[in-house]
Amino acid sequence: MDPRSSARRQFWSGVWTVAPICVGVAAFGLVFGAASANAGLSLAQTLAMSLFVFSGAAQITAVSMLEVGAAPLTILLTTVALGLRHILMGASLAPYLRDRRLAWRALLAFQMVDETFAVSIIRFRAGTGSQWFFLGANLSLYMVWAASSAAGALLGAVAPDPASLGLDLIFPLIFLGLLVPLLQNRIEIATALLAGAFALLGSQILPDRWYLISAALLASLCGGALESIKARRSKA
Amino acid sequence: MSPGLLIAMALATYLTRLLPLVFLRGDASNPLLERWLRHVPVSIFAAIVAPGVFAPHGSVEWGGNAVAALVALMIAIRTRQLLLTVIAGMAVFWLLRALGG
Repeated sequence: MDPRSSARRQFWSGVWTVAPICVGVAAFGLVFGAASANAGLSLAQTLAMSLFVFSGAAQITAVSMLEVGAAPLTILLTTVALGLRHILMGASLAPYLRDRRLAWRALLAFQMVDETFAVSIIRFRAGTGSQWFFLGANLSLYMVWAASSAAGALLGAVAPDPASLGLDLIFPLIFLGLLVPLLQNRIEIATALLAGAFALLGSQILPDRWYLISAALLASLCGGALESIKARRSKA
Repeated sequence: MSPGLLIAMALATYLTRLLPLVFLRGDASNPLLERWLRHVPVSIFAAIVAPGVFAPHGSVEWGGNAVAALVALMIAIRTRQLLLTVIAGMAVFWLLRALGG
């Protein structure tokens, strides 16, 4: 089998897989662009954020904070807090990319976002993933995000408000759809329920998005502990 | 927004994405680590879903989001199709919104 054609097929598979997700991303890009313009950022600054930071949560939070006059250091710290979840994501992807050259990992890391991480880790664990698939997914979202951010900044007040259209429900639904097939045994279900409960609790008592990484860390540790208990029981 | 803040944000975000991929080689010989990491995706997904569904406006509530998500969950269990799940959930949400006014 020609490795190049397989790479191309994997690439387009990545693009195709995130196509429905891109619709949601485009909608949010429009909103971010409009919010950014409203906060006084130029088109160039808006586009630069989307091209260099490439994190919807961080970007929307940042422009909102700029609007209310928050200090740059506070914005930076919030960005770091929001980015912590990437560490967990990278950690779970690392085994599958360990043999790839550093350049590959540096590139893939740059464009990794929640959704591309999600579709890629599912493929990797099923044994059908590759750096090409990941790249296809990454590039698609990257371009859609940049284009819609620019469009949103240009359209300004005309862009729709996601909350009024209920569009902010799209991403939880996407992750719900990705989550269900992964719940293949009781430990997985328990882990998911714990993560959900921790996250819900955390969202009420912790600032910013700390609930996400805290819940994910706690729940995955519990899941690991449950696995260890199960392994010890079956050995006995 | 100063260029300095933008650069700092970009660097900070990139580092959180890059560091584990550079420094962690996924040492498969540690079963404890492996058991933990195996549950990270499920945990992350669920941690994203729960607040979005049960606390979309800040405080915990059982609203249109929750009902829509419940329907979406059933569709997801039945069909395992991502697109159908999302469409079904959004359809229920908009329907409820139209009915509720």
